[in-house]
Amino acid sequence: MIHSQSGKLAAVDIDSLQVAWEFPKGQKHGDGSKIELQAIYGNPAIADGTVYFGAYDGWIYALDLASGQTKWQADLGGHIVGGVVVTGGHLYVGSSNNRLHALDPTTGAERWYFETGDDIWAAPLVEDGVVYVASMDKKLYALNAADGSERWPKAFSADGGLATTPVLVDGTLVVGGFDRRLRAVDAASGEQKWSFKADNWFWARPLVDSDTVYAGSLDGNVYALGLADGKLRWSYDLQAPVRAAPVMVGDILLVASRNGRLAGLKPENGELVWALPIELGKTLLADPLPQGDVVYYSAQEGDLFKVTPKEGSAVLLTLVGVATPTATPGTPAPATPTPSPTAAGTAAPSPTQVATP
Amino acid sequence: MNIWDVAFVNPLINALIILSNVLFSNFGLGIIVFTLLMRLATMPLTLRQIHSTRAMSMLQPKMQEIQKKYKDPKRRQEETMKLYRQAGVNPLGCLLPMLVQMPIWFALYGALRITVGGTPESVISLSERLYPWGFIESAVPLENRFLWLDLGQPDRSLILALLVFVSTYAQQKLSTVPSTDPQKQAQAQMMNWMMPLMFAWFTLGVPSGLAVYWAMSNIAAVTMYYFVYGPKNVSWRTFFPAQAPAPAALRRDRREAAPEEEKDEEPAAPAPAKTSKRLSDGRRRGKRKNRR
Repeated sequence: MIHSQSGKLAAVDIDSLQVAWEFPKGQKHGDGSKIELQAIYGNPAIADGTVYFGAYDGWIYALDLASGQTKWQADLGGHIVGGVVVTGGHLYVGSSNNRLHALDPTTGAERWYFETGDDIWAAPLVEDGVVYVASMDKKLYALNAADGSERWPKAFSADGGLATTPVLVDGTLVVGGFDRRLRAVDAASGEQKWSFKADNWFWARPLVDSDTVYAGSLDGNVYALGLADGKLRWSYDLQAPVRAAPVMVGDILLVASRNGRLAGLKPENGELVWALPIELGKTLLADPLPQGDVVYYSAQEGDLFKVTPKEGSAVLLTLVGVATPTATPGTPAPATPTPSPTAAGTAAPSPTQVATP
Repeated sequence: MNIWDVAFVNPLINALIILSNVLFSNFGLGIIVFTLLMRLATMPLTLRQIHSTRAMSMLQPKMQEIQKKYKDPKRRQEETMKLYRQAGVNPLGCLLPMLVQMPIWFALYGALRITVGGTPESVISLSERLYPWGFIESAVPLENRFLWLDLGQPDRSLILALLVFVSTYAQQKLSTVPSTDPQKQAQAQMMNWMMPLMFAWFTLGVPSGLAVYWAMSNIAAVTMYYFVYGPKNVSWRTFFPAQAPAPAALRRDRREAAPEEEKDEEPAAPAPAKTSKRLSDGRRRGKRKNRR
């Protein structure tokens, strides 16, 4: 598991919780200056034994998964907030220099870039040779993955900045914005299908399960909407902004608010599965990492929690090799994590987690 | 959200963003113009404070005389109040406008601290404070680049720290009440250096947008002082430690501010017959017969 803590990236053995390596550890940039990541907001990607991630210092790093040694690093010239995506022989990442960059994953050399009108804070979505990227210029772009040329005659325009990684299901893109609206857009034409207005911005990546869209809003609610028509089915009030993406574990929808409140909900009606929500007491902004029956949440303070939705329990994991305060919120669950070899490529405004292949 | 935020901080945040929008979506310009507007809005209070501070400073020599002359505290207080009355000075005149302005500046500081963050987590906090008007929400994230600065990050070039140091020193120097008491003078001298150094040090660690606000606020205050008292009273000499602030003006103002000489003074204790007294111009007054 790749975990971010105290401005560093750490590789953690998910069974023993031993920290294998941390980055940076004395490494320097090409000009001899010390590497200071400032913060890691976007999720890393793992491909071919390499960990790729972008940091708020504006650099993108490629590290050896086994040792944590730097393979290459590239300065993109703007804060990197969104996550990176490695697929089809390209590495895609957006930057606060308004550009979506397509890099060579082996060398970091730029293959092409696409310039938008404002910062890009969302990780791109790459599906079937198309890169969908949301920009703070209020537009959603569809680009050819090979050369960055635009596919739609006109980019889709919203009324506010778009910071959400879009989700694509059955030819429909779902994307939230700072105009308080969640929108469904036709992936082929770039035309809007429907929109739903909340009381504050949508920043959490939505989740689509069968015919329902689940989306958390900064107004503190999680909304369940019909995928076809955008009609509200139910909402659940977490009473604090929701930035972390909702996840489905079995038949439980797990949602988290910024103030560390976790709720397990019934997807059909939004009722709480547990007697009470779990209060972790930490700032939860990052997207969680589902692994089989458990879900890992990384708090902004650096704490790592393992949540078992079926039991309604959460346990604070104490990493070996890194000083971490020990506390046990909620009911302790048996510490037998069995991570499946899947990678989660989700945008996260603070720490990030990725399962190792 | 508490009442302070709802009533003071949030309106300022929204006003600041509207202003930035109007100023070509330039947040740096927004901070500068906003600071100037706030200075303008509080100008009557600031002027009152400046006048009172200056008038108080003019009375310092007279007050020293009273301190020396009257040992009885009650009498001393009576004479001091009489001096204030005759000079038309209210001792609270310096304090009251400052107290009224303090909440405004605290709120402005709070608004800037929240707005200039620029990081994703600070934008989440900002989202809770913005009014639901498209014009405001569409401005987020704010354009944080201004000149060589990233307004959400500290300025590591030292230029801004230097600007904050110089402007705070100038502002501090002009607002200090000169004292004839050497101890108070030493304290004031120390503060004149400590405050600018402290703010320059802060500048290295806080988002540069805040430092822009500090520098602009100081520059506005110095400019206001300059226009109120004119070039004769505020020159480059004013700011050098060796020079007393605007000595010529001080002398003139002292004459204007001083009340009529009291003729019915009653010393608390008779002065020793052989004691000589040094006049303010350095000459000695005393018995001359011994010289012959």
